[in-house]
Amino acid sequence: MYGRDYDGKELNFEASGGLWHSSLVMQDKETDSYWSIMTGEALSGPFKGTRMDELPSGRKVQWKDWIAEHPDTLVLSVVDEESGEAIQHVARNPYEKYFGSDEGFRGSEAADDRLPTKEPVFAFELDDTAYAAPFGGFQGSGASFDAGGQAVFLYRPDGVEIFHSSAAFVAASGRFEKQGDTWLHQPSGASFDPESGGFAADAGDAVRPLGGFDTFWFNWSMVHDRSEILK
Amino acid sequence: MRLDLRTLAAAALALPLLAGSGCAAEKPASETDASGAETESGRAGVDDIVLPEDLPGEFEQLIPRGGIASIDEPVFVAGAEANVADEAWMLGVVVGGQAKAYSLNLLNRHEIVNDRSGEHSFAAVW
Repeated sequence: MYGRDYDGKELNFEASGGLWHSSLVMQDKETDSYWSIMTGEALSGPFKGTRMDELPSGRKVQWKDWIAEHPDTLVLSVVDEESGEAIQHVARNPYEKYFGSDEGFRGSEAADDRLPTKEPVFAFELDDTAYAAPFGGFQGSGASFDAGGQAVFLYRPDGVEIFHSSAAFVAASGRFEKQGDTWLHQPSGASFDPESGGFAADAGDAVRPLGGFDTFWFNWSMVHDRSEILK
Repeated sequence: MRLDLRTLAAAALALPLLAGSGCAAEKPASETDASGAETESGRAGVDDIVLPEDLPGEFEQLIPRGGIASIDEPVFVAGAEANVADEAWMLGVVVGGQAKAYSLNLLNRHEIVNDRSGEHSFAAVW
């Protein structure tokens, strides 16, 4: 999720039709600048060097869970080219094989061999440092990491498919602590709810969602060659 | 399977990238888009595209720009009216107090939705 307002212009993005280090590059229709999802900034054009405005509010979830939490949700509807019908979903997922394989896209391999090419990681940047946290380090029980002096909390439910979003938070102040089966932010005492993937409101501004995304190690390491690994 | 330029062009047409709020990894082709009716030239005009000089050398143009149409005027239905399987994967967002969900398999076809909720304009990217 990214904001579309830059320098007073509202931009419309589309796929450039090209890849950079095997990852998505967009172009905006207003200035034709090229924008990389993987670095989070424009690579070329009038907006070159501009950081993308990342909105850490998107979450990949299964429909039954989303509608239960958000009964008032709207759902994207498109006209199917084949049938002419308005549809909100198609069953076909052409990527299942790819996610189950050890190979990178078109034979891509991670140049940085600290992790296997296809290791799934939560990847993010914080204060100009790139980080990657392998799923295994926080799936199931959750984990707190020190990222350049700031406390980061990551969580994935046990046994979920790779599509499921990792929950990620950073503490502007204080720390994350596990008490029994529950993760708390201290000193606010706000608890993490694994069901909704969020912290209780009493954390106030002390806990904020962390930008970043789930990806594979080779994708991230091809663009960030000095990424720190959080295990 | 032999991977040649024609396959790649069709691949890139059919397959967007896992990205954005979600999994930012590229995805390979395993199907051919309806528009994947490749010409003999294979890359369907890609070779004629002049790239800006300041674009990093590793950038590879696989299909012409616009080969994957973004959604710029998205249409929504109420959750109660939606025909979505329970187990279907969705990108869910709450912006400006409004919850919205986008089917990941539908986003596969468009990659980017240029959307707005109230005063907030945002791009849902998969």
